[in-house]
Amino acid sequence: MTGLDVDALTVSYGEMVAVDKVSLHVPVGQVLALVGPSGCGKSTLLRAVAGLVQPQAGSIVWNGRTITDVATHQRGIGLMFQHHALFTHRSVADNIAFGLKMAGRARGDQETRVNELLELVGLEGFGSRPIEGLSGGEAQRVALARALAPEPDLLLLDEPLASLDRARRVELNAELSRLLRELDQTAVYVTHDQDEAFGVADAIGVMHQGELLRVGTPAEVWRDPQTEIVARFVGHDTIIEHDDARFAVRSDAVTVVESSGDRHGVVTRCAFQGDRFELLIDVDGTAWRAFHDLAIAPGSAVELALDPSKLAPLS
Amino acid sequence: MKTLRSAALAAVPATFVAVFFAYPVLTLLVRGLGQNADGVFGVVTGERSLKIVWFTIWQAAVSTVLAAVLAVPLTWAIANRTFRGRRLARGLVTVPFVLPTVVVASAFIALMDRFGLESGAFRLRHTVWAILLAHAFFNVAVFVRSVGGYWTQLDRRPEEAARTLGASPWRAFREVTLPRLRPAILAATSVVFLFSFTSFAIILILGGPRRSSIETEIYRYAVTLIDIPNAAALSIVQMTAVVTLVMVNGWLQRRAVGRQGLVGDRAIAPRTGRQRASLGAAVWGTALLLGLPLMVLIERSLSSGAGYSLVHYRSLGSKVRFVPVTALEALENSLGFAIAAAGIAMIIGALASLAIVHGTRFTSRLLDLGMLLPLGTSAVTLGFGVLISLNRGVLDLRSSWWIVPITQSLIAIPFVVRGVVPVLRSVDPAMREAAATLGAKPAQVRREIDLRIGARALATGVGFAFAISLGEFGATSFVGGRRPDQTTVPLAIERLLGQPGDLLRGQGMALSVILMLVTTAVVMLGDRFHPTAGAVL
Repeated sequence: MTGLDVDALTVSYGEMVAVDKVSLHVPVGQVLALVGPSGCGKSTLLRAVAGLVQPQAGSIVWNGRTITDVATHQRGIGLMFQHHALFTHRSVADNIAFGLKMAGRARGDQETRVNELLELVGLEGFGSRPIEGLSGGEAQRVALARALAPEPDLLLLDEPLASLDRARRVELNAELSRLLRELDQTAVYVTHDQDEAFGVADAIGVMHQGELLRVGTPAEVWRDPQTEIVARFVGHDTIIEHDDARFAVRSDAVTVVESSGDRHGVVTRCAFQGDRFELLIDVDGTAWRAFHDLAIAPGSAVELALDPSKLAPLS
Repeated sequence: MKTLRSAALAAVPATFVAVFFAYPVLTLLVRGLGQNADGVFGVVTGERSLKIVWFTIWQAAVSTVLAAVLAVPLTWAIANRTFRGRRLARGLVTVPFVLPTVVVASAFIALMDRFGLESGAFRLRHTVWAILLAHAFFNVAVFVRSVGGYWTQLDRRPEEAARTLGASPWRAFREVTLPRLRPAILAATSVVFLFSFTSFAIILILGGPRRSSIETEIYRYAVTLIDIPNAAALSIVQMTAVVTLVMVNGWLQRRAVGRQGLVGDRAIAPRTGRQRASLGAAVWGTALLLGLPLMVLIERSLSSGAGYSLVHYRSLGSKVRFVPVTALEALENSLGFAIAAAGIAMIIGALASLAIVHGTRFTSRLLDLGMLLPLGTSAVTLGFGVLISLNRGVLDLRSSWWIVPITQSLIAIPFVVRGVVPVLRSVDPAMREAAATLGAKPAQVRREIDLRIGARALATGVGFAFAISLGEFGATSFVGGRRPDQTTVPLAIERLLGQPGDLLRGQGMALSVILMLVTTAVVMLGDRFHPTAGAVL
C-alpha cells in the first residue's frame, strides 16, 4: 500500500504503556489528525513514526518499505515541533536551509529553496533575522518552512499551534490547511483541539489512554462516534438510554418546539453565539445542548423534539 | 549502537584522566601507605604534623571569614543597585581571583616594601596576617560573584511582604533575605575554604621559612628533604581532606541551584542622595582595597633607587644568579606550555563534555565525577604524584617537555567541562531531534548543534586554561623543576622574590606585572565570550 502504515505499534516507558497496539493508515496526499486529551499517547505515536522513540512491538511502513528500525535522519520524515525547536544559534534562513545542507545540496540551490519557502510561508525578507526576535506566529512559520524545505515524504506536526493565542491559531490553522493541500503533502497532525483537527484533516483519529478508538473523516467521527469517550471528545455531552441501547445526543438532533415535544426541560443557560444561541437545558437531571435562533430566558420551561436518525448509537 | 558510540566518545578523556591523574594519585597512595614503617598514622600524629594540620585549618577558616566580610559592600551594591560600570565592576573584581598566586604574593611583598611593613611595629612580612590578607584579597570575587549573582535574581516579593507586615528594612533583610541567601553563601564559603586550604604559593612565599601548611610541608618533604614516604603520607591526609571538602561543596552547590525562585535581575537605580553615597562608598571602597596591592606592585616594578625607570623591565633579557634562564626565556617557556595545555584542555574538555551530555547514565555520571576529581586534588599532590609515577617504560615522561602542559591541563580541564556541560545541558533536546528529522547524522548533530552552541563556553574555558597554565605554580614546581632550562614565569618569580637584593626583587615585580597583564587580558577576552568565571565560581 502506498502511504503510511502503522501496524500494532506499542511503545511503553517502563510499566507505562503510552501507545497500545495502534494501527492506522494514511494514504499519500492525505492529512490525518490525531486528537485526544494530553497524555493519551498521540505525541508518543508521532515520535515513534519519526524514529525519536523506539517502539517495543509493531511496525511502521512507508510506501511498502519497513522503516521501524531505520535511524531518524535516514527516514526522510519531517517533524514540526510543539515549541518550534528552532536553532537559536542560527538565522531564519540558516534554520530553513539546515535540512538541505544535511542532504548535501549545492549552496545556490539552498538559497533558491529557502527563498521559495520564505515566500510560501509569507516571511519574505526575514532570511537574515535572528531567531530571538521572532513573534510566536513568525517562529511557527519558520518551523514549518524548515520542516518542509527538504520536501519530506511525510510531514508530522506535533501540536504546531499550541503556543499561539486563539486568534493567531485560527488564522494559521486555515493557512496551514491550505498549504498542506496545495503541496499535496501527506501529514499526521497531532492536536488536543478538535476544532483545529476538523479544520485541517481529511481523517481524524481519536486516541485515549494509548489506544486509537475511532478513525474516520471528521463528519463520520462527529456523526457516529461509536464510543462514549469519542462522543464526549467531539462535544456530544448528553448520553441517553433507550430500549437498552445507549445513544449520544448530537446537538443537531435536538430542536426547541412550541408544544408537544418528546421531552420537557428547563433552560439553565442561554449563551449568545452570534448567529444563534446555545441553550443548556435540564431534562430530568441531565444537561442537554441545543441551538436556537432566539434567546430563551433561563428558568423557562421548553419542549424538545428529538430526531432519532441523528442520535449516535454507542457500543 | 548508542552505547558503543558513547563509549568511544568517552574513551579518550577517560584514558587521559586515568593515565595522567588516577594512576599518579594511586601510586602516591600506595607509596604513602606501603613504605612508611609507622604508616600514615605515625606521620600524621607527630607533633609537627598536628601543628601543621591545625594551622592549615584555622588559616583557611579565618581567610574565608575575612574574604566574606570584605565582600559584603560590593556584593550588596551589585545585587541591589544598577549603576554605570556595574558590569565592569563585576569583571574587575574577578581580576584578583584569576591572577596567578605568585603575582598576588608579589603584590603583597610590594605592598610591604612600599609602606615599610617588612619590619617594626607593623611588621607584616612573614606573619600569618600577610597570608590571611592575601587569601582574602584573592577570594573576595568568589563571594561577590556567586552571592551577588544569586541575590540579584532573587524574587523580592517575600521581602516586600515582610515590609507590609511591619518589618523594618534591616529586619526584613535578616528574617527573610538572609535565610534565602544562605545556600549561595554556604556554597561560596566552602569554595573559598577549599582554595585557602590548598593554597601553596602564597603560604610558601609570604609565610616565610617557618610557616608551613600541609601543602607546603609536602613540598618540603618531597623536594627539600627528599623524604618520599613522609611526603606521600601527608599527601594522603591532604587528599582525604580535600575530597571531603569537595563533596561538601558539591552538595552545597546542588542545594544552591533552583531552591529559591530566581526571577532575573532585580537591581534598581539609587534614588536618594544617601543611597548614592552608600553605593559610591561600597564600590570605590572595594576598588581601592583590591586595586591598591596591584597598583603598588606596578609602582614598585618601576621604582629604582632614586626615582622611577624601566630598568627592571630592561633587565628582563639578562641572566641573573639563582635563576637558570632569563626572564624573557621563561616567558617564552610559559607561553609554549600554555598553548599546549590549552590545546589539550580544549580537546579533552570538549570530548568529555559531549560524552557527559550524550552518554548513557553510567558513563555520564562516571565521567562527570572523573573530570571533577582533579579540581579536588591539590596541585602539589598532583605534581608530586606525576613525578613519582610516570617514570617507567613508555610512560617515562619525567624529562619530556609534554609533562608540564599535560599536568597543567589536568588542572584546567575541570574548568572547561564545568563551563561547557551546563550550556550543552541547557540546549532544548527537541533541537537535536529536529536536526535528526532534517537528516543530520548523530555526528552531524554534535557538530552542528552541540559544538556550535558550546563554542563560546569552550572558547572561554580554553582561555581560562591558558591563564591557569601561565600562572600554575604548585604542580609545575614539581614537574617543571627537573629541566632548569624549562623554568616558567611563576617559578622564576618565586626564585627572584626569594633572593635578597633590590635588583632581583625589582625584576621579580616587573615579571609579575607582565604576567598579571597577560593573564588579565586573556581572561577578560574569554569573559566576553561567556562569563565562565561565573560558571566556575
